[in-house]
Amino acid sequence: MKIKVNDTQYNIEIVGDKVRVNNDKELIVKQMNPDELEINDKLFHLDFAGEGEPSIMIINGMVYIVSKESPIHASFKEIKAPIAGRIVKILVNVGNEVRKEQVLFVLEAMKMENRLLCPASGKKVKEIKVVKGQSVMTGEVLLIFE
Amino acid sequence: MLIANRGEIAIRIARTCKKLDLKPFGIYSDADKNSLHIKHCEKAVGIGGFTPSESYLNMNKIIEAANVLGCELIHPGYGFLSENPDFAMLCKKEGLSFIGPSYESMSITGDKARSRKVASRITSIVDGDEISNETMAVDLAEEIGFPVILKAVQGGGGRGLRIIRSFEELKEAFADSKNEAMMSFGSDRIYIEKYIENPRHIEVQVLADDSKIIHLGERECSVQRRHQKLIEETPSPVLSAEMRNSITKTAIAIVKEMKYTNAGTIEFLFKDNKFYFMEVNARIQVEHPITEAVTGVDIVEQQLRIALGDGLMIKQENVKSKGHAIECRINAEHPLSFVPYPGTITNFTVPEVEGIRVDTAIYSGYSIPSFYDSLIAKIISFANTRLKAIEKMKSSLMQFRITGIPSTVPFHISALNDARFISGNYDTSFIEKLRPFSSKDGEIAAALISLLPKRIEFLNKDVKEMTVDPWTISRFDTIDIFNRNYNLNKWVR
Repeated sequence: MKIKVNDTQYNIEIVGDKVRVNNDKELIVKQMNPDELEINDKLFHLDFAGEGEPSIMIINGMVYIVSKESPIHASFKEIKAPIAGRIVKILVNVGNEVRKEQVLFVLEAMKMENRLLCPASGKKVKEIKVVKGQSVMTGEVLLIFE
Repeated sequence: MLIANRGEIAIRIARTCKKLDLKPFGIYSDADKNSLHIKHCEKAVGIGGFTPSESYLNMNKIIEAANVLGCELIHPGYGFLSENPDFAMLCKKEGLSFIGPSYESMSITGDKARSRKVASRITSIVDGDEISNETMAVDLAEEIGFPVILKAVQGGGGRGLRIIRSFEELKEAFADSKNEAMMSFGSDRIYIEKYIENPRHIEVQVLADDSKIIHLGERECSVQRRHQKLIEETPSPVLSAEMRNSITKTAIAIVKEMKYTNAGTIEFLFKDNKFYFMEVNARIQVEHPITEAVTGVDIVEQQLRIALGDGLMIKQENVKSKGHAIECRINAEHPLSFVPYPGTITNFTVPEVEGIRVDTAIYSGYSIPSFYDSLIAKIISFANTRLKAIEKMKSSLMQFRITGIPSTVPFHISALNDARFISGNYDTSFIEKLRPFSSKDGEIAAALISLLPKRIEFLNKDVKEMTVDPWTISRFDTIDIFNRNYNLNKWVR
């Protein structure tokens, strides 16, 4: 398995109860508690592991951007609200073709304006499920692609 | 006393109430039924609602709560109604003492165009003025030169600012800016200012009663993202003794000119050894604990004394700053993009380190509501020297566990390790140039991600099934290690 952390690539193999890094170093990972891991007898705190690709992990208070090396698939069908808030701007129309990182919506939440970006290029907008000013809940579908 | 606020500041205010033998009463919204601040109040009433406008911004509901609970005083905290002159006026009408400046003072400080004019009689302000139409905006921009910044007259707190670099951008932004100001602040008045690139942001804490005004020194607040502060420290590493004297004297003169009373903060931009007045914040500030740490003054206590007509109990010559204090604001945010990230905290553990104060309202098992701001904890470190305060903060941050949600902890660790921060040579562009992660232990991250979720059980899924009694878990709030009172006279109403 190839995994990219920050800007460095690692080759990871799981062999029994060991993790082999770059065909060389072996790590023995023991889970003590949900957020405590002992790796080669040293204690690490796993504070946060995000979902998505790439995602972030926070270990011992340090942040890591991690991605499993798999091509970002264009199989996404919809855009969901990542957090509850209010749609303050809709920057796309039905029928538009979108590009990666294009701003689709502006969502106001926790006293901040958050821009929701398109994850990949080449999709066409089929339906917009919300109107400007509408309040949305976490996970609510905002937009459907063709 | 009714504390018309939520979260850590409500708990902070309740602490001073108890010290002064005042009973703290509270309010909570429907989204805050499990909030820790309720537990720190003798009684609290639900005022319903989820959004701020349905709850903590609803003046009538709050006045009703005060009457139901039989309160005589109202402390508004920060944010929400704290700088709303109409609320101060309403309290007065209802026979409640509002802990803050008068209606008249807040009408000046809340009107940024007007406070600029008043301050300009005392000190330098950045070139600019209020603009009512596009032609005026274009003319003024031509006169003062790009870049300029558009701000809401009734705004503040760094919200809704637009930096403009050309006539085209100005024409495009003018109407949007007016609409946004209307939406956010209920007034479409805007003003234009020359934009000072990468200044430092320095503010002065003042306390004023009817007869005297004192200052408690400055705070350096240049580490910001989107014009919102993340790290503050006092004293500022950049001010010379001469400059400190000048900026604090200016702050006092502005307060005098505005006939302002109670606690307030005069904000300045500082560049090339010159300072320019920016605005007055007519409230207790988020970052007030660093000033408390170096001066030993309980600012909330002084606010109460001033509002009740008992007067300031400190004289300027008795204010003796000692040591250095730093505050890191821990927000429930993605540490790289700073996108707010509400969720459930699975584990929250605060290190008990001497010289570390933590003001917070969260606990293990707490779900952060998405209706309010993302601040979840403030860590304040205090030591004899700046470098020791940095070291103490760094080691506390490493031991600080917030699990289940991402937070700004990694950002703070990187920031405190940055050579620019350590040397004190930084400005408001600090974050743009910060690389907030290291290559250390990259293999650990790679190994762990490969084991998730099969071999390592993590994330919130188990927590939702946990039944958590918020009051029995992690009842730390503000660990007060600075309790160095100036005056041992017990304050009696």
